[in-house]
Amino acid sequence: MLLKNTEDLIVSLSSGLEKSAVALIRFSGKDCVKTVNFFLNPKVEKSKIVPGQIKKVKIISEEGELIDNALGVFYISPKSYTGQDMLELFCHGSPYIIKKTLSLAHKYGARQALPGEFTFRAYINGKLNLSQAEAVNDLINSETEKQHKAAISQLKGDLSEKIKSYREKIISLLAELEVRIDDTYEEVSDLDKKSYLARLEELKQDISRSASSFEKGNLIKKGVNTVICGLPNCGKSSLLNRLAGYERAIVSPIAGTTRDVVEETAEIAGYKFSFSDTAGLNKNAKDEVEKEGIKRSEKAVKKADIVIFVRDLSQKESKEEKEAFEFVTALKSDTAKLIEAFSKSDLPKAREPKTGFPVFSSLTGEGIERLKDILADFCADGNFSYSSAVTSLRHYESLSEALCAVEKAYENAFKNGPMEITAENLRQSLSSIGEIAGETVPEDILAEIFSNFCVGK
Amino acid sequence: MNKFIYPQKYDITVIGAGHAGCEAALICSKLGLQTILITQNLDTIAQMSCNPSIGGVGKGQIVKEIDALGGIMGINTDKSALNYHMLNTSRGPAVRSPRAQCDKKLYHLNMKFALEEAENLRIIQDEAQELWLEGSCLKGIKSARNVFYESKAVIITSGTFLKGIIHIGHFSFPGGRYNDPPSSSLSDSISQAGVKRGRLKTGTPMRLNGRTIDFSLCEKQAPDSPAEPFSVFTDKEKLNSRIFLPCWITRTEKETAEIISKNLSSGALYGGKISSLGPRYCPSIEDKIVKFPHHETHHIFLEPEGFQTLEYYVNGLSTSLSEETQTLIVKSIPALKNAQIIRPGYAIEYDYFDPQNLDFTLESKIIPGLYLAGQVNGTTGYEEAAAQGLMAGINACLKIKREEPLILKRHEAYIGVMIDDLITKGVDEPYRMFTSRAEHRLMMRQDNADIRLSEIAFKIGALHKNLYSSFKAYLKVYEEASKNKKNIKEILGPWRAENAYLAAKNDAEYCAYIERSKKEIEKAKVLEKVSIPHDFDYGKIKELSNEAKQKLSRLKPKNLSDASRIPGLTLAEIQFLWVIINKKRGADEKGN
Repeated sequence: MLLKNTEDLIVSLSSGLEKSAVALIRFSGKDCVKTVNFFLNPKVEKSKIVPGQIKKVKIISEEGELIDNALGVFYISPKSYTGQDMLELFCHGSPYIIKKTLSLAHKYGARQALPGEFTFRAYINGKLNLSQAEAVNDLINSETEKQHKAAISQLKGDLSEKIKSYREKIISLLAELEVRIDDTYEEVSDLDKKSYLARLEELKQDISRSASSFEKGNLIKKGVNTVICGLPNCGKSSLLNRLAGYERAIVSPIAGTTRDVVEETAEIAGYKFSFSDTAGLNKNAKDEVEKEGIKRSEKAVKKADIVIFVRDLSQKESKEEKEAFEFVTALKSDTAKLIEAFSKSDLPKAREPKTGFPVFSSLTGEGIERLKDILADFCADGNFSYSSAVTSLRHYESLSEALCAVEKAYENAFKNGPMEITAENLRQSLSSIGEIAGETVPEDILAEIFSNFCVGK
Repeated sequence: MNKFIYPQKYDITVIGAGHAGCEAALICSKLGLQTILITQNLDTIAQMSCNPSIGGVGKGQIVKEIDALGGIMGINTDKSALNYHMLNTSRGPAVRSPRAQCDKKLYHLNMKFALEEAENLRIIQDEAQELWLEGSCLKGIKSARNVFYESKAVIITSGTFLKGIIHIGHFSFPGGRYNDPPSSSLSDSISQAGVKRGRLKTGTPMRLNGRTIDFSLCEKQAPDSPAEPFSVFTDKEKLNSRIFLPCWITRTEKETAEIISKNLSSGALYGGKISSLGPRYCPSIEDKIVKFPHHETHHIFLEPEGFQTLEYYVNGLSTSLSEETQTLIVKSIPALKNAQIIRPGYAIEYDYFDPQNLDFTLESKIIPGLYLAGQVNGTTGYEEAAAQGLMAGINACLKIKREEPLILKRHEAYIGVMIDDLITKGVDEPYRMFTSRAEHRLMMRQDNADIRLSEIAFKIGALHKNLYSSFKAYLKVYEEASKNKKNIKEILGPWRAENAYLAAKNDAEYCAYIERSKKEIEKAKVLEKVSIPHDFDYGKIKELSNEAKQKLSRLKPKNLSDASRIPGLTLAEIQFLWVIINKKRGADEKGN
């Protein structure tokens, strides 16, 4: 992927994102000087640059306002880390300055660097010295092994088995066409359209299932986004603390204590969950700060993979609760799972929980395990299996491309379009699938390896 | 025997006057080099030893490419054809392929005339016996009559003649083709110089007397009307004023299969006489019966061999079964019930040289100045042979003229696909062209061969400058038509505006796919830019497997793209190579 373009201008923050005294932003590639001149003052003339010399520069916004007084060091190709024209820009480490500078760079044509892209370019341009190169050699070894495990090219994993079977299916479907196209002496009988379409359809569904496993696979990789919501004071923060295992949110009996979205991650049954405790959905909130908090809660619900709607057993169901529930139901995404859970089982009940629904007490811990089981089930349910899940964005993209090509092949075959077009689409799907199976153009694999470097180095 | 050193020193010697040899000799003379063509027999120049057809799926595209590059095959076919048929018309234009049956005698005579007529070319009837080497330096060729022909380059196009053995059932005898003696010492001479040698097999069916065929039981395959000529230089109207002959189709019966199954042991193939590999894609009838037992019947095409003969070629019944079995097979087919075999089918085994020993120019990596083309490189088919002859000839000339070699890319021409396959993958069965071998099939069509390649022909001197202006006008029409403008109707010269319109229309039909192809081609160029030094020592790289080390050391790829197409190399190995080459380059730059 890195290789799609090895010359264009890339930019990235090389130091950490957290507040620090100084931040380092690096640029590398074509038109480096020209591009940064759009937001640096004084303008720099490429011919007058003294490579490696520290220069005072001002970062200026589109409106001409001063963003920061910074220091810049230019390097001219081939004498730089990447072998290309480069700028190292040292600015003050405020998140605002960093973000603003990066967005200016993007605006004027620099692309956000992919992980490892600077080092990758250094390699492509033959810039690394002997020991560094050997270090990278070792790295390639280790990273290749990692890929063994993670997903693909190496056998055994369910995913690669599946990919192999798709490849075989595509190859066999393709062969049916190729043999007819190349058959000078009409030895081969006509294609049985009905059964051929059925096979294409089956393949389409297979690939589609794998592609859609990405949603969940990716979810597992990055953490299941779980939002806890409910009326003020129904026990959301206590639940978050229970699930996360320690006090995080400030708990108080006063409605509206949680004014912002509180986030916490926890591992349940081996899956990663990130929990957000939202401000209560108090529609009558008058406090501006609380209102803002509710706004943010809405946003969180929209993005959630799982929404836990907490109902307080010690209170009767109020009109507000009903409204809030309807509100959440309407707000959450179609694919998100909604769990209704009844809290405060340790207190005297003001109502009966719905049969079969989880009941818990954050105080005593009763019912928490059951709730965790329900959460874990979400990750493991149905056809979904972690071992065959597509967790890499690249694999997902390849599968989606393959799927798209198979769909086109199907359409063309369905409407009796020219055979070589169906074949061409199958060839494309094969090359997309090939990218996963490891039978890829090598530069992509190499790029993948380098992407395991941290950004900016 | 007295040694006679031929007084004139030539630029290029071509051995063999088959389809490869004729192309090689003619292009060399056309490019202005003094050329001598040595053939065993002037009366078998451009002999169509097997079927009477030129073209076919994948092959028709090659003939068009040969024509676009300044070769002879298309022109000679148009002069000799007795039937034209465009194949794959039920499919799209990319896989539509022209084919023509020729009068075999006319094909021979027309080619002989073309050779005789060519300036700078001398033809001589003699037999090349061995390479004339001084140390490891190739001086020329020594003939069977002890004549020494000296030249700067030698192109060998020996077809099936090197140690050829013919089999009809269990009856076998040495021969390069029926009635022609094989050539034995030349093969040893090349082998002794260190070129890896192998053995392949091919075959041909029986021929029948047309008077004894019941055509009323056959399906008639009328020639196309109008016929589309192969060559740009053929006048289409004149061509279509000629008379063409039909071909005929019939089928094998259940009984045919039974006869074959019962008499397998009578044949050379299943009787254990032949061990070398034949073409999977052009199987003998016994192969078809054994390997596809569920097929109840197989097509047979009856193709006339000429205007002045009743001899018919029985396409589909290639065999090395005994003559007795062949008689029974023919009898079992209703239309051929009373048909008389006038020549039996036979199989032939012959020596070939591993094409992996060649450079992409078809020059030997082991003996500089020696070029090999055609079946001697493990291919099958007149068209494949001719294309190699042409490319070997062009590259031999370019080398003598100290110009850049002409290496066609896989996305430029079928010829490029073929040579790339031969050099990087080698052969384990006779190689024939298919459209499925081409990754960029939709952009490499028979209708745009001239648009793809004729510019190259001009650059190397194979297209005369007077014609070039006509070609440029044609290109202009094509470019305008691609922008949907059709303001020019006529072009002065051989190129026809209607073809330009057709090519533009077909581009448009595939445009989304062609765009994608172009992107892929751009992407692949990255690897091409990473060149590998010629003296690169693979042995020292511990990350490479022994197999990879051997293959790389033997094939000496010029860049990473060539290396990546060598089968058996893993991606990890290509990556190591990349890193190491860059490391070396980085170190070298620092050193400087």
